Amino acid sequence: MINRKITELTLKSNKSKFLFLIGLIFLLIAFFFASLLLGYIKTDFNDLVNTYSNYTDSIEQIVIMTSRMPRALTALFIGASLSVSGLLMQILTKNPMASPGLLGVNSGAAFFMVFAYSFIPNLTQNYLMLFSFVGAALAVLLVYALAGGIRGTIQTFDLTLAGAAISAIFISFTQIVLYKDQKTMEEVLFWLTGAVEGRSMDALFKVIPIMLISWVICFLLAKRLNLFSLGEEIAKGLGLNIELLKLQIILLVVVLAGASVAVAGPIALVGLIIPHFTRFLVGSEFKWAIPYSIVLGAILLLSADVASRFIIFPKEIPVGAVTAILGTPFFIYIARKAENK
Amino acid sequence: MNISTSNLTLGYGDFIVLKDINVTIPKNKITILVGSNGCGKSTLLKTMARLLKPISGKVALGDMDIFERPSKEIAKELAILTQSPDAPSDLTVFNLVKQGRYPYQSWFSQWSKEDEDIVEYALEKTGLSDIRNKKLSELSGGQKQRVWIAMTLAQQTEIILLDEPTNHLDIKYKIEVLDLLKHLNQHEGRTIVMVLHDINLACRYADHIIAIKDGKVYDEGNPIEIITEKLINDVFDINAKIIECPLFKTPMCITYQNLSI
Repeated sequence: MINRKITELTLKSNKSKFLFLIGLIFLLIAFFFASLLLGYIKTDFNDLVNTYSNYTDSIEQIVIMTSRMPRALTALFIGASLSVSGLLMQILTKNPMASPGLLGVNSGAAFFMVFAYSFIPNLTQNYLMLFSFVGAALAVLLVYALAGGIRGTIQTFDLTLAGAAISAIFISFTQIVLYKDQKTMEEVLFWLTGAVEGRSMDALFKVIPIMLISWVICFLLAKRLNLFSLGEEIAKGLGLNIELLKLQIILLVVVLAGASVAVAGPIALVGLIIPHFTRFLVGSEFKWAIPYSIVLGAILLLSADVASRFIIFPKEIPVGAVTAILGTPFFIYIARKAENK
Repeated sequence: MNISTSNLTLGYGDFIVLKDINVTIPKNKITILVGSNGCGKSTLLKTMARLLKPISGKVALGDMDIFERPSKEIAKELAILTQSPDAPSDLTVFNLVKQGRYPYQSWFSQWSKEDEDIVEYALEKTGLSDIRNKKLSELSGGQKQRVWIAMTLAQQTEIILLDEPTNHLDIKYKIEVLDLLKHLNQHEGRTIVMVLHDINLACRYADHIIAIKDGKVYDEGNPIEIITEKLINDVFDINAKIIECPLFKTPMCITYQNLSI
């Protein structure tokens, strides 16, 4: 099904794919600067330069350094990581509607986060992040075990079923805790919608290297992922160790999506829309699909975050709500175009 | 290199499909597995290609157990084309055929001139050179099947296994695909093993037929020697009159349920 949907291919030669990617990287840089400069407090390019060369403690510089820089970096890295993990999920499950949430990543992280908020007082942000990452990983581990990972062969269909079941359980646990403890609810609601602001640089620097390494590993696996997309039996016949590859894919999803949700909460749709858009642009060759999803995912979240500052100005809305507003029309357009072809 | 099975028992969970199968696939010949639906012929083929693990017994490639050798090494000696494979439709012919070179690549040795030449050869053999840059979505069923066969050719294996390679193809493409396989067998000495539904085509193309019934090998041998009215009746549960094919001199079965309808 996933294979038949994607018929439109706008970029054909390697050269055009490369040049368009460079163009997108410039767009990404533009949005990154927009994210640093635009917002409730007006700043200009000089403020940005001075923040990192001639720091004087002005309000503009404080905003850039402590709020907007971490926020822009969060949006960039999380957008990119969510979209790559979505791409991996869609190839793993051969399901075009798959996203990292299908493995239980979001619900596991949410439950652990809410649990920690409610029962362990005065936790620092770093510990909360760690807690929700553990929750994400635990949920995936349970899904993997239920889908047959322990006996050595996982069926992707079982994976989808187990993911839905485990997610349902964690969601009801989360609801129970929230119902018992109304105060927690108010505090975590912002996180539960998905938000990229308020993260410390310190926390980010723990996550960013892990994400970068995971992206590189994805890229190194590109050739095997191509083979995997020919179907499990064909791939096996060509000598690919598919059980190992499935495990590698799942681990990458745990790290990328788990870290993302730990930092920014479950941001909807990036992991679903961007992989589609990527394949629409460059097809399913992974040496292109991976860098394109990284860049496009980062662009979507950066632009959504900038937009979130102005939609009900001067108040902000969580970025998770904006990705849906920005992404859905795009998604419908691509889905229709692919169908008409 | 020969494929042979010894005391092979196959099944899924507690359900046994085939029991104690001992067959040897003759080298440089075309062997065709026949039997009614669900008799386990595809299961046997996939097990011989190490895609499925047997419940007990062995598959040997040469004198080595196929499950004890690195899968990538096996892929240089044996290629398998499973039934109706589905690749991303935006892949080009060239990019799919090229995947057949995977067993020869590693972190250190990437795409080489030799790989390029072999893909060229595979495209040429299957008559795909002119449409190498077309996307799979633009091809006919027969062309698509030839692309997959080209991919197995790019694997450069002595043995090629195919599970119903003519499934869902028009009669013209059926013959085209089978003629191509016959050509590969006769001119390059490749050993070909396939599952076919159509008993008449099996008789025409096979040097060796293995007929499977009730989890066992009912009979095996050259079609002229083994295909009898009794075999058709026992294996397929249908009456048949067997005549000699006027063109190929191979057995031809006219099947019927009841003479007075």
